[in-house]
Amino acid sequence: MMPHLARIEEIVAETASGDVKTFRVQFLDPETSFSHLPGQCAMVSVLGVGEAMISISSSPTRPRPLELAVKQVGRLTARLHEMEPGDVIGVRGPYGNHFPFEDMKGKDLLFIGGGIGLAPLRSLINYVLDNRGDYGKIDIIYGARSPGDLCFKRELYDVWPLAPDTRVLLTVDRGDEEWKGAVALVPHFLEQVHPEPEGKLAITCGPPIMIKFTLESLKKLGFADEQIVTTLELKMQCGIGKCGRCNIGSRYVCLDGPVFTLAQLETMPAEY
Amino acid sequence: MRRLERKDMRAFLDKLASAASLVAPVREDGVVVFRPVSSGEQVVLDYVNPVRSAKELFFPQTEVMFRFLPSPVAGITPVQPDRQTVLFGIRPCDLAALSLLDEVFLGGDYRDACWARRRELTTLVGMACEQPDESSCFCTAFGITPGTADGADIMLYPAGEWLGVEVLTPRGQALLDRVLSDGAVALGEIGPPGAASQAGAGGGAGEAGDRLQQEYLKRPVRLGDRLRVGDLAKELDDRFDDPYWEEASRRCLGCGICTYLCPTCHCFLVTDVPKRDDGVRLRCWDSCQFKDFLLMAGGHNPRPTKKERTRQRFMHKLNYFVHRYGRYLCTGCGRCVQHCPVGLDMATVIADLRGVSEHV
Ligand SMILES: Cc1cc2nc3c(=O)[nH]c(=O)nc-3n(C[C@H](O)[C@H](O)[C@H](O)COP(=O)(O)OP(=O)(O)OC[C@H]3O[C@@H](n4cnc5c(N)ncnc54)[C@H](O)[C@@H]3O)c2cc1C
Ligand code: SF4
Ligand code: SF4
Ligand code: FES
Repeated sequence: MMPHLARIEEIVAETASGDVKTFRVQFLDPETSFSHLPGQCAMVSVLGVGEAMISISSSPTRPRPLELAVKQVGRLTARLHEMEPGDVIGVRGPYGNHFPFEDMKGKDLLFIGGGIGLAPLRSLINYVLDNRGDYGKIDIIYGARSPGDLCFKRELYDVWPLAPDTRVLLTVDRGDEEWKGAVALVPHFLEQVHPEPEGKLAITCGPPIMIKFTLESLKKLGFADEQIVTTLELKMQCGIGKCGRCNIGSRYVCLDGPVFTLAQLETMPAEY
Repeated sequence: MRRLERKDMRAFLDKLASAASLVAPVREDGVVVFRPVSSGEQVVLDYVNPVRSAKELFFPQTEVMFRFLPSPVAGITPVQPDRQTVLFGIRPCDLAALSLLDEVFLGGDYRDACWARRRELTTLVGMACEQPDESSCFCTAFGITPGTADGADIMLYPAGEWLGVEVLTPRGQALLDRVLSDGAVALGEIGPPGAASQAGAGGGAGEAGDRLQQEYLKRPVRLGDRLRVGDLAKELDDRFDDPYWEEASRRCLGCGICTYLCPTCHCFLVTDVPKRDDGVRLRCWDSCQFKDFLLMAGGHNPRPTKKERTRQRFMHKLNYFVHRYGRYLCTGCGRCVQHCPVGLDMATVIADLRGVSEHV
């Protein structure tokens, strides 16, 4: 449980309010062995405060700097948000399983993200786009409370839509004067977009309430449990199956997750 | 097996204390606990089991993992224990508990350095149970017995005026060699005078030792013998939604005593203690019975009521852990039976779940 020291190189405010920031970090020791897969997480230390589990939002195809998108919700994340380029944090990992990017080959992919939930999806999206030939059509449905709350705007507007056979479909709960796009909750918007389940995998991540209704919408649209992939979030302390914090029945989210198919979730107690 | 005269026990303990730092059962404010001791005088031998288990020697209630200098200087120095220790008087149930925690801390892809280090540094001198507690010990429910020596380096079997001494590992042998080196304490042979010469041929001494061991392995444990768990883990696969959990949980106070005293509970939290210029990162025991154990931002709590928390404690030990590691996460040590203020203990719950009466 010893973190590697890493220096913050650059900080990008993702949202208008600044409550989500991306931290680009480099390990102080360039020899640090740390190679992740899309969907894996890292335990991030602010020395003097503690640790928090954060998804790695950069793609393994672009391994350094490591990118971590963090929403300010409490003690540690607040301290992290006060830090500046040059500050040093701790990082250990990578932990957890990963999105089934091998099984996804040849399939059409439907990404459905909400708010900060786009962070882990972004790792997979960029991985898939860097291996574009291996995958079918890509639809990225993404929503946030307001236009200012959309994360990763540069990629949403200027990068992903330009990739071959790739659509980015945005929605917000509440628009503003300039917003010309959809105004709807993600699950409703998903039903309006009405994707066909054939040959497709849906990968969804976001706040628990969004995931809950998105899963229902996907079922309504005819997606089978095996075609739906999501991630779970539980409180964590160790990230490696020791601290007894993150179990759901006999599974540990930190070891066996955070990525689960809906088919797997159906076999687990609904205690999350 | 060799023979240690009871009258030599104090001298034997003194030698252990001079060979390494010795931790042994002592009586403190009327209760028996494991404590560092400097001489055999301080050690109690008439105990059933220390109130607090042996786990805290390897997984302290509060443990410094490393010292740090905060950003922007930033540095990390691991804190590693380095003292050779002898733990004297550990019972079979606590020995089994250590091997269960080995599964957690050493198993899988991640080896816990703190636990591993303390395990390596510690020689275990086990003590078979002459008199299991009538109303709380139930190790036999899980196939452990008053004589089970698995995991010990040396095992002692009390036999009236003397104790049988069985060496089980090279580490145990090395310790014993040091204790006996200056001749102040000597071990004798078991069995009738003259049997020693036949021992090598599998004669009297060996047989007498085996008999003593067998007697311990078969010693009755009243409560455990009634509660044998059998296929309980499998039965529980379908009992997540059993109304029993709600019913049982009503009397829980959420005090966490059960988890703190339990030799197999291992939940911890990680916290930093900053000082003026540096600080330490600690891990501290935590309890799944506390209501904020899983509380998350926005107030979401996956186990919001006592029902879910009680179910978690017992399902973890009797079902989830079995799925993961193939063993029950309870050794029948009886501490929760003795100390849960409301009687919501493992023996009671097993009896309830299996529909057997716990009381004869
Ligand atoms: C697998 C996984 C991946 C994650 N990925 C990301 C990510 O990419 N980006 C991101 O910003 N966050 C992510 N999180 C959530 C992140 O770990 C928490 O937001 C963080 O631990 C909060 O720490 P804090 O010290 O700032 O808050 P605290 O001060 O610990 O908590 C603030 C408030 O929320 C409660 N709380 C306690 N635990 C948590 C918790 N785990 N999450 C939220 N609130 C909690 C507290 O009781 C308090 O009231 C992820 C979590 C998991 C398990
Ligand atoms: S659950 Fe009770 S009896 Fe079982 S090991 Fe823990 S304290 Fe001992
Ligand atoms: S089961 Fe008993 S010992 Fe454990 S928390 Fe509840 S009241 Fe306390
Ligand atoms: S975070 Fe410690 S067991 Fe999963």
